Amino acid sequence: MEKQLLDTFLDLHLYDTEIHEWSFEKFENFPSRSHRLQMITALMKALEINCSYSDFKEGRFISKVQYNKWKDFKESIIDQLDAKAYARSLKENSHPFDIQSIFRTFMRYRLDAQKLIGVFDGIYAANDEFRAFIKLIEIPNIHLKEELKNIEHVLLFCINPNEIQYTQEELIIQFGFPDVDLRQIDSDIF
Amino acid sequence: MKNTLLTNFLELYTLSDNVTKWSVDNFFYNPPRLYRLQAIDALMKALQINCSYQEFQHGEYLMKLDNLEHSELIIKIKENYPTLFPSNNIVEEEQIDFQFMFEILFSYRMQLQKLISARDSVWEYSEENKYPILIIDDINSKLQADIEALDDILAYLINPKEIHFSNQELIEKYNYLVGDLEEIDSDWI
Repeated sequence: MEKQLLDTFLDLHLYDTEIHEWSFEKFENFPSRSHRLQMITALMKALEINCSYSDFKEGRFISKVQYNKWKDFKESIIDQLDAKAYARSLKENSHPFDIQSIFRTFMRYRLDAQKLIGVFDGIYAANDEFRAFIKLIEIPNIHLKEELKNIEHVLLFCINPNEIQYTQEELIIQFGFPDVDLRQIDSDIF
Repeated sequence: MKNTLLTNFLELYTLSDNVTKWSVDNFFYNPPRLYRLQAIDALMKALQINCSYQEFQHGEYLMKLDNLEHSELIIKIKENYPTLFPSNNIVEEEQIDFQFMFEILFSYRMQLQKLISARDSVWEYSEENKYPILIIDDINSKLQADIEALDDILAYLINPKEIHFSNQELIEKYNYLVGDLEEIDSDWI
């Protein structure tokens, strides 16, 4: 669920970078966007994240909940970096504000990275020559995706520290998750 | 002088991302931007790229290549990157659209520059925030080899005719500025 929320958020940000303007009114005539917004809204509700979309991006939902679990969570990221640099860089008693700041820094980077990764979503390889030079971009993108795993690991922990889980059906019934096929909707637009 | 134009363009882009608003007037009181803009002007002139910054960004100058220049550029790129254009079909090669290729690669490169330089603008850089910065630095450094590969290809596209000029020519003929960019940048802060 946390992964779906993050991915959908990144996706919608590719369509519209003005997060503070996101609304069902604004996206009324854009089903690809409005359904994504509906998914984000439902997932935030289900994950007990009660804030605006732009506050979400800034990590303003982060509280004692993440803070209390941070110490254990840290064990899972300890091998991300050279141990000494890491020990110096992460104080033992992180304040919720520090976790928020980590989230915010990572989220900004992740959103920028999505602009690179998502660059060919709308372009279909026309011929061999085109496909060949596109490899020049696919290779850094493959590396970037791999390297982003550490960042995503932290973002996903912050989004769902209590590991709340619902089935798709529960999301639809209880939280208004749209019962639609996004691929179908996206392809109808072309 | 390899890729000086590219470097200056990318650096100025991270300082001011609306290319249509780049002008001496707009940057008059901002030496780091002004200096880079004047370097771009001189280099574009020296490389015979006669168009606006925005047209450059979209590779429009590459549409002016004649047939001979077009096939020479293909040969040069193929020599160094045999896999890039796999077919040996002359008809298909004639259709290679360098303007489009440059536009795609360059816009990707600009976005990449934004990503790797975003870290410089993290104003909340502090003891508490050191961990994400370390992680981001690590990612950025791992992307460096890919960036260099991309820049090598862009170098061919920016200077398809392989025009050569010395630093002195650049200064005397094209008004390239003499000055220490690092000093200009640090004075500004």
